[in-house]
Amino acid sequence: MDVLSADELLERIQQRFGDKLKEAEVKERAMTDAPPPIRRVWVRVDREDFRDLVKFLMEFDFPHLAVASAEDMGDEIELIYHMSLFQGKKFKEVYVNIKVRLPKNDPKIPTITDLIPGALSTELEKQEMIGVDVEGIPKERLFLPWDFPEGVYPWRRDETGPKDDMVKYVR
Amino acid sequence: MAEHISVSYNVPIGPIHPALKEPISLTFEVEGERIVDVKVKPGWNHRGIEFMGMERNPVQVIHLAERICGICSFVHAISFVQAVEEAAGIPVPERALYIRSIVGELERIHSHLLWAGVAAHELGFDTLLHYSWQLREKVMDVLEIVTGNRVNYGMMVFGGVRRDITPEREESLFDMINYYRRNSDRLKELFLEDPTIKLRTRGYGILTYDEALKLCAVGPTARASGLAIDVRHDEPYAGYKYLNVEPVLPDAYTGEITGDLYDKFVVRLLELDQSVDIIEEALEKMPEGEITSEPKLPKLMVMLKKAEGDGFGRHEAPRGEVVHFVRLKAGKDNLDSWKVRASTYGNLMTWPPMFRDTQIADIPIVVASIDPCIGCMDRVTVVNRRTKSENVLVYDDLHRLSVEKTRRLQRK
Repeated sequence: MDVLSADELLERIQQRFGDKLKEAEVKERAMTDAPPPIRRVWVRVDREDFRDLVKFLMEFDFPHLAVASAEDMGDEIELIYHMSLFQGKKFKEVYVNIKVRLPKNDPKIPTITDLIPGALSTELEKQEMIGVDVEGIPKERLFLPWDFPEGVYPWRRDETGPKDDMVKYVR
Repeated sequence: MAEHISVSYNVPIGPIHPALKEPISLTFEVEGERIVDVKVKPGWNHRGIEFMGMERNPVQVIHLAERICGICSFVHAISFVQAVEEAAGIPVPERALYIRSIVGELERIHSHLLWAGVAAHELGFDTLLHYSWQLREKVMDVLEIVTGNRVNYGMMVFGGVRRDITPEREESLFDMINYYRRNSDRLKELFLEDPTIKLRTRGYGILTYDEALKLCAVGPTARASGLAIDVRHDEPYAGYKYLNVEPVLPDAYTGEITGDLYDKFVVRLLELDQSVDIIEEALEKMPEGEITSEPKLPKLMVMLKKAEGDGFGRHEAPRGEVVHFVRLKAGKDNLDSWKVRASTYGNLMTWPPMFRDTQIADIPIVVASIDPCIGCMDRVTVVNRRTKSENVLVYDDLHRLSVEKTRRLQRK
């Protein structure tokens, strides 16, 4: 197994996926000037290509999924899967951040738990917190209490978000 | 002879339980004494911190992030600050990078000693609990000397750290290094050479290499299964670029990797020595200079308000990798988006395989073996204040069972 740098990895992804990548860049951390600077891959794909991209990454190394973050962007929900390749290689770990945008009227995304079993808790969390429909995992709650009202998603910024009377002592 | 009929029962433990330091609900399916399956339900400690963070500006959120967890408060502050520094492009002077690493390692020492005490208590060795926590007082004093506080150090600011390590404070650090060098062999002997601890931990709570990899385990839990991962080594940040850090694997002490509870003890105890070495190396290499690139807060606030972009900060916490994702929008005072992934969240999925073929009396030590920090993990949503009370059966003699098993093994 070859260990690739962030730039080499992005080049391989671009060769394979071409126009299917909506965004593709390697971002360097400007935090410190001490060498070597940390470089990470940021890409955006459609949900149809998302699983293919994860499978493609698995050809290089087993991806360590940290978490999926989510943001309500108005008409769309953006998920970002933060995963890293080549863990355990000194200075060589490469973070790949995969963005997927889902329309709010049809927020479906296929599960990746068959590829990465550790993704289950973060996928369950996305289901209950932002109302994404992850296909292929149980529709049960992980963090939210059992008596939390149905159809309310804490991370949404629209009428399905938390009601004013539910938010106290925050501001 | 009657045909053997296996009947399984469900034993709920928690959310509030003497064997658990923080609320989490575990439902065990048992056949006799043997555990067949476990269902984990977190979420009893939700305080809605990410939601609160999006109502505040980044400088205020540093203090909020620090209060996600009481034990490892520095890890969230450093991860959050690194994420915002990336989004806003704020440089950090070299001396501040070293100081960040030193405080991170001090916190690891105190957290691992705290864990050692808890683990000893769960096994029924309360003398060892008091011995570990007596050792821990030294690093707590040093943390107070260096940062001003025993917990919630308030060391992080954007572009550096708040307090310098002066020559007097450096002296107390060297004094601490000598203290732990003197006591480390004794601590390792007490934990790792004791025949009863070996009986209770060898072969129990096994997490194989494959499971650790596929369930995305982090920190000492992953390293005890042979996964050589460590953010300080793989993608070094802060001062770790200049320091010598190798992931600690249990075979350095035992010669083999089994991934059981004993290996988790080994990894954490060896990491204590490693942290002491790192602090010494950092103090020797640390250059003179500024500790922050922008001491004027109003100027920093203007910079942060203009900033636009995503940031991703990581830190190897005592329990494993902590990840903060931050999105800033230009012209907006507050954070646009904030996601926190604490290390226990990453290790949550490793519990079910570890409970395989253990007994009810082993529950406390298996739970404690990943060093769970529920407060870190549960922080994501709005708390519903109209929660009705749940009737959950609580077995308050679980700890007693664990102690009894230890005594039983000692008598044999």
